[in-house]
Amino acid sequence: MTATAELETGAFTDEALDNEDTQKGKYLTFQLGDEEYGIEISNVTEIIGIQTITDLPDTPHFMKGVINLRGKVIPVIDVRLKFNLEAKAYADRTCIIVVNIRNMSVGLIVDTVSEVMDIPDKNVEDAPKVNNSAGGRYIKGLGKVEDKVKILLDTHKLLFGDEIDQISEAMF
Amino acid sequence: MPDAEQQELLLAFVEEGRELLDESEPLLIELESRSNESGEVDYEVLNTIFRLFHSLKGGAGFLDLPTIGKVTHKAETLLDLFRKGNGSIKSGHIDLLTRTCDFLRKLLDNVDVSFNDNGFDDDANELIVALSKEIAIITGTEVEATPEPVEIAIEEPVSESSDEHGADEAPADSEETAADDGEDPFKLTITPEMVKQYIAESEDLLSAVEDSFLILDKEPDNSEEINDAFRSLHSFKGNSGFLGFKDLENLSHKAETVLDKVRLGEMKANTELFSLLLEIVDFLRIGITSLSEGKDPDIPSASGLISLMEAAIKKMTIETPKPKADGADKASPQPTPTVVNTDKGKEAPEPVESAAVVKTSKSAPKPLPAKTTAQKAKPAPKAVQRQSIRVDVEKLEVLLDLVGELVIAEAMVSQNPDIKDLDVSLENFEKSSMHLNKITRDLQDVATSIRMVPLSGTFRRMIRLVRDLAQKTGKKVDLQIIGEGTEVDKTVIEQIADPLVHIIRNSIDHGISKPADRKKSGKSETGTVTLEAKYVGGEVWISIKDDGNGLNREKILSKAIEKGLVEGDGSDVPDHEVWQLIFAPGFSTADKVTDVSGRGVGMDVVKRNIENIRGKVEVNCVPGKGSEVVLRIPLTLAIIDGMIIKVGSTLYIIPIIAIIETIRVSYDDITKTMDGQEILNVRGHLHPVIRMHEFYNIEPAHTELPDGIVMIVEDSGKRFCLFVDELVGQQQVVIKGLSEYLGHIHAISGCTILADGTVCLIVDVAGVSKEIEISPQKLTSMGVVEV
Repeated sequence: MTATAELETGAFTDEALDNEDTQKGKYLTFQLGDEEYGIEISNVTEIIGIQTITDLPDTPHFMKGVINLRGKVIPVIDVRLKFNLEAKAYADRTCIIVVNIRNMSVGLIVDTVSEVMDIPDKNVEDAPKVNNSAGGRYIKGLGKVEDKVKILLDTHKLLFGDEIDQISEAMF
Repeated sequence: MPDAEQQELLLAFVEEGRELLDESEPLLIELESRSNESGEVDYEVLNTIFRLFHSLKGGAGFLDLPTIGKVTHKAETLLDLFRKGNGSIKSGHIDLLTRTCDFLRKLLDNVDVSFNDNGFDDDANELIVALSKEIAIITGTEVEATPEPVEIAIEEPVSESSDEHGADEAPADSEETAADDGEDPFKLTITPEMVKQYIAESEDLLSAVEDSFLILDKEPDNSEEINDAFRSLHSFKGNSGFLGFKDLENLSHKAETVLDKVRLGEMKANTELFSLLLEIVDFLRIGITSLSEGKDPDIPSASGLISLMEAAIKKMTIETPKPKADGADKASPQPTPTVVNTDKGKEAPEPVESAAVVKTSKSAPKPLPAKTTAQKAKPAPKAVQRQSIRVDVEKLEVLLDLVGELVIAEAMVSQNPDIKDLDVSLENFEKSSMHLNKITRDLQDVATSIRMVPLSGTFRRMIRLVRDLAQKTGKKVDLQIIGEGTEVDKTVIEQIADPLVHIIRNSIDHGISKPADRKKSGKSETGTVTLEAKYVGGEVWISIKDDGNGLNREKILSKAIEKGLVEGDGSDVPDHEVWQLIFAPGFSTADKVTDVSGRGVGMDVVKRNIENIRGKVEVNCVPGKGSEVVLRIPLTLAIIDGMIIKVGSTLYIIPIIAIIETIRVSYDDITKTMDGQEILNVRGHLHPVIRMHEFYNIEPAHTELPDGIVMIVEDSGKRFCLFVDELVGQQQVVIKGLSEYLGHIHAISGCTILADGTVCLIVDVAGVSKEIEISPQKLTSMGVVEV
């Protein structure tokens, strides 16, 4: 079956489709403070500028609220706060990376988005398990690009690592 | 595998069949309980059931579903005996008939999947034997071990000889004579609904007959088409006879006779014959049309037509179709042959005069010799007016979504910030936008109402359930249904069927005890389960009440402690929280798992399903007296009227339906208790105050009650005040769910998008009110902030 045919069935999104081949090893990198982070491009739907965010009561501090994405209401997470980094006021360069996992769209607020780059698996090393800090468990690996290191995140864990537990706890 | 068209017919039949069964089952049980009570048979109910089975049989025959045909025929025979007053109805009979319903459902499921009803012969035979036995007992004849030939006749109407046919007719006729005798218990009351259904069915049947005739005209030897036409005509005749439309019945009977002769080779099929038959179809149509217009379905010159047919039969039965003179005598139907031209080679010209013939046939125009008798006399048949159409639910959903978007878009245009900034007169704009707003609202109302369905179908299914459960558990249970006409959204219907089953099971299995035990505790032997639906405010309440033992607080608590759901000895947990524990997944106090209940899955399903439709489940219970489960379901699932309020810089929406009034207060009206709870005196009524900014933890613009606005709101009878900074405006809002990712948000029921594109949260007033009641501690700790 060709790619187009599969698309027509509506069973796959572009991202999921290309995931297997062309998008493998491709990361979207963004900045938080001085460090560069990367997430797998396959989960990214789009990148938008900062928007009016509606606060949600009674949610964790990193859950900034909800935004209106062309008629769809999606929650946004401040990644800085999620990693227990110092809060920073949103500015022109602040971006929201919209990711889609398990058919749910979630926005990630980051300082600024850098670029899309190839980081082949051979250049990715496991993160040394030194600290057990809040952010540590979201790291998928460390990508070496020339002489710099990008912190590659596991988007799945980032979104569902602990919230799922919290949410299901809250429900019962 | 049948072709696409046939498949469609089969699927339609399955759908209809299920509806028919849904209708029959509660009636059967009603029949049983009535005959148990008074020993009398309710003939009206009996007739209705009979008709339902008959329709099913007709459909099965038409679609070549032999097993369904056989079984329904047998059941019909049994019912017919009761109808005629032979034998009394016993519980065993009803059992057998409900079993028949079950089996038919199974068959329908099979048809749904594989488009035939083969492979159930053993079950079918078993059932038929059982039915035959009952019939034999009543009629006092020998029991036949195997299905008799009559059934085969039903299975294959093709093989029915004309003689059998005549025999078939006889009882029908005698029945009718009986019906004419006046005070006859079997006299059927014909409801407008039945007529409506009949009209729709007849239309289809006649179209089918017509199509077949048109094909036969081309290929007179196509025996399949003859059989098809015959079947359709037969069903039509049956239906007409049943409803007492004599003319239609007689006329179709004659046509059927002709067709039968053709089928058996006794008559030569030729173009004239089919022209004549097509004429008959047209006349039948006229009857149906006048019926749909509310008039009597009498055909102006029916007797003439019939004698015409008879003459034709006479003439043509003689194997030699001699060319005859154009004897078609216009206007006055006489028993003369109407044959136009028999010259085989020379086909009749296109029917110029047959303007009256409204064809729905999809086949190409066929030569239609239209010189006929009585043509002048017959009015041009109007297209039959259909009262309803079947629509794909998906289309409806898209429509509703679009209407939702339209409401938002309308608000975005008419309340556009750009317009507000304009410094010119907007009189015209405002007029037009008001108009637009009105239309949008109307459209929305209509769109919502399309999806509204009465609860009766779902409720009536429970009758069967209660009966079965009562038998299985050896208890006596009466089901009372109140408010079955209450209409709810289709999604609600789908979501509540399962919960109802589970709750009723629980009531009967755990709540209501055995007759002996009930007697001991001073209750009547028969327990009662009441199923009630009503509108309360913006919600539909469906309550399931029983007069059983109620819930056992101790038992639930000890189980909950065992499972770690409750800490400590649980003595301080209020009753309603204890009752909520039964909804925890896997929670069951049953000592043993029966096939009715006890696994602890049911109530979990209840809660989940109801929450899916933004509803709530409440449990009320008086130990020893009974328990009540109330399903509270919002009426509109998509759009509400909302009041936009402001707290600090945040906007919230409060459903208008919850708002009683909005007031400004003075310091004199406020009393503050020592724990900081403010109480407001509104014209002598005291209401607790909840400060929205404290509740949602926002920095407010005002902290003094007299500076802001106090809104008195109500949730299921409980009134309290919400303190907000200001009112922004009233607007229709389309409810959007918050992302699944967020799960449940405290006292927020959803959100909407405002005219300027920002997201605004909708306050769940019930959630707020729960807060005051359940945790007074939390409230006070929030309330002491200011001094």
